[in-house]
Amino acid sequence: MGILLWLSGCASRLPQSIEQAPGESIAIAQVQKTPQSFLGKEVRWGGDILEVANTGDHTDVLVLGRELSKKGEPVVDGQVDARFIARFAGFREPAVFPQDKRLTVSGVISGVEQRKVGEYSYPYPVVEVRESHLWPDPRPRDEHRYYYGPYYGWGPYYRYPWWGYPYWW
Amino acid sequence: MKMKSLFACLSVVLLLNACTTTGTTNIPAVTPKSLSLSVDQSVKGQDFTWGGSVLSLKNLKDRSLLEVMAYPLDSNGQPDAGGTPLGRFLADYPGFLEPKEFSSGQLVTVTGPLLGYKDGKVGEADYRYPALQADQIKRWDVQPRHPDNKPRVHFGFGFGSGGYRNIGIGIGF
Repeated sequence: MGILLWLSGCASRLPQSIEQAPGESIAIAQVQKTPQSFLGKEVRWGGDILEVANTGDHTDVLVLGRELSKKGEPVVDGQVDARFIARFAGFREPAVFPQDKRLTVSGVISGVEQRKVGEYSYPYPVVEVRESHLWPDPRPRDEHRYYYGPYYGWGPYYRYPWWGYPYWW
Repeated sequence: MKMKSLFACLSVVLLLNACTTTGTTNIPAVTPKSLSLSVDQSVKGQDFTWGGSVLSLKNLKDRSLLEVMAYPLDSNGQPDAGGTPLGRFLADYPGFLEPKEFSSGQLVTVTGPLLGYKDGKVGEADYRYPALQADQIKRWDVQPRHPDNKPRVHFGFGFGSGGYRNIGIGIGF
């Protein structure tokens, strides 16, 4: 049973609107320039997560948009388009959206909002998210070292709580 | 036999060549360092091409200031971050530069006229930055480092506290 669940987890399909690009391909930078002409348009955007902001009734995930593969996966170190806000309705746990994790969303453009990057007022196009997908990290970013500390707890003190006896050597 | 020694000679020559090209020849006469010291006003407005690795980026209201550590450029104009440091400079870009694209360590080459000098601090020390107007900024894709991803197993010694029931504390080295 456990194995079955695991297998189905691996084979989990992407949401249709993530896997398939909408008919019209709209660049984030285009929307920054002329927001009015793109309101209500369907997009599929993705990239690296910059930060998460929880508000009363929605959760904003700020993303640095990059070029996507055919299947909607942000290309690692791919061409940067621009930043955008993926707006999820309701509360989303920010820990689900760690920095630099890759996120692709589909949804509708609802406007452009200014947020500060340093002292610069950056125009973020906002997508009201319909479907989304977080991508697994392609490879470890840093060299990971695993230490198998030789933990070995053993002693003749099991009859007494050790913290009750301040001993050292 | 003769061919072999010829090849040997050739390769020595090539090797020497390689050494000289990556060494002195690409250090420009005027470096950020030399300007920082001379504060030469006569070269204001003159175009320079400097490159190096990004130290910091400041996004201001209508412009971005890139602080760069300059290094010698190779024949393609790409900075060699392993070369002699040639001093710090500022690149003043009239617009927004994405912090993620110009993070610390990113290699860039900047071309534009010298705007002048700007006083800043490096740690506690005063530093006079020559500032270029960034008419052109080229980002170089830093070769992704390929750390050997072999799993490592470390064996070591450890100390453990005497456990109570199933609880103990161990420290490994």
